[in-house]
Amino acid sequence: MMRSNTAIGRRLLLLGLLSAVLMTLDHQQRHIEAIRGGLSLVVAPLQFAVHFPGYLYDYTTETLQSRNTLLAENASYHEQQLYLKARLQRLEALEKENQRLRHLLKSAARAGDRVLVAKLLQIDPDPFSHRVILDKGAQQGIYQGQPIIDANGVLGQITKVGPTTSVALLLTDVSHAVPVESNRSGVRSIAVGTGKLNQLELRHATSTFDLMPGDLLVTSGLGQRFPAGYPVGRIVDIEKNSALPFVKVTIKPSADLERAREVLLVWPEGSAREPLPQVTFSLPEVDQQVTE
Amino acid sequence: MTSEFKLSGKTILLSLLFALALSITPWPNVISWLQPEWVLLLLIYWSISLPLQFGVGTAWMVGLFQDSLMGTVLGEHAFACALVVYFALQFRLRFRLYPIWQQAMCVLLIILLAKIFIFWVEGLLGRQPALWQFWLPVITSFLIWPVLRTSLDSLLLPDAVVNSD
Repeated sequence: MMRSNTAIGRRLLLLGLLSAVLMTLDHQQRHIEAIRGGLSLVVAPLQFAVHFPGYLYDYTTETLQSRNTLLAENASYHEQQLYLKARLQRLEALEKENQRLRHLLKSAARAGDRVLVAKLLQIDPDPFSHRVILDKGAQQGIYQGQPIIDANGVLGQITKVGPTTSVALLLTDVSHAVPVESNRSGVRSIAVGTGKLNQLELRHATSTFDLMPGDLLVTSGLGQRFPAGYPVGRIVDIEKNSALPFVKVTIKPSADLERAREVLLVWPEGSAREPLPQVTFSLPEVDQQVTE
Repeated sequence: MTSEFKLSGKTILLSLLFALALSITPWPNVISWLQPEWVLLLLIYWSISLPLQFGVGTAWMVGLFQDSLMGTVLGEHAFACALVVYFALQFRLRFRLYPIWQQAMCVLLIILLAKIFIFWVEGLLGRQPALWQFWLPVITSFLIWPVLRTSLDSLLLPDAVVNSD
């Protein structure tokens, strides 16, 4: 009938060893991509099912909107488009000028980075880590370490890739850091997550750094993971305490970390990996440095 | 006292799928902190009710799926689940004779052990949850056990010889 207690104990011991091996391999991200990929394929339907009510709600509120709201929205979009077009004209001129100047300096002009839109499938139910799951995976050419952004700035990077889904770590997670530079003074530093949404900190910033509240910090491109020039956040507070070796610089991220439903996956220009061609498009290059 | 009857695998599978779905449903922070450990509770329930169909191996597989769903390192929840079922099986015979609140106390201890394991692993990986709210599910699991036990007994095991009080 029932298995004896010692037999169960032995099985538990075996499973414990198996778990330890799996955890070690998974943590070092070696050899078990196939297992992870297979598992994530199996559980993907469940994830879709859990988030289906949310999609349904979004869909119905969208289709049942009144005509007036739609008209008003349309009008405001027209206005916005006109405004953006006007700005774009100026930017195009600046871009040309920038290219010419770079050419003069004999440095390669930066082409536009390629991007792909992905939807958030799920936000990590664990309230102590800032991770999201996206609906694009290896089949779309997503790779580990790929930067993700939204309309306003850098969101984070991809940490795990499955065949159709992928896991992204947000900027504000305690284990995330991104090399940045000040758009105003060019001071370089590293922005690390604090575990609180909407707050980053600079690591090892001394009181002699040329930083001021209100400074825009952009990715510096050092570390070769994030392409240079994407906004990361604005400095909101600099706390100088003479008892501490470093000043505490608090940053508010530019990206809408709490609100983003759609994100952009970026293939930095010049990276060895290429997205599948039919699903991508090119962004007009906007150089943050020049607009300031 | 025998309660070694068979139940269709479908019911078990569906209930576990439901528990897994609950564990990844996005809630506002307060509610997600108060969510009981549905998967562990169900594993305890099934392993004491159907010890023939349900062992540590099955629990380990369930935990592996939970790891994949939650994006934690593979093997973390898997071993926690196996641990829970191991202790549930060890105490199984005594467990069925306990009054319901004493059962809930046992459930609390077993789930606390699993949470300590998860806390330890996350700490090793450098992601130790710093907030005391991490431990709240242990309390809510304790409180929900009597309700879960009686409702599942009457729902799923109508023909069974169940020795609950």
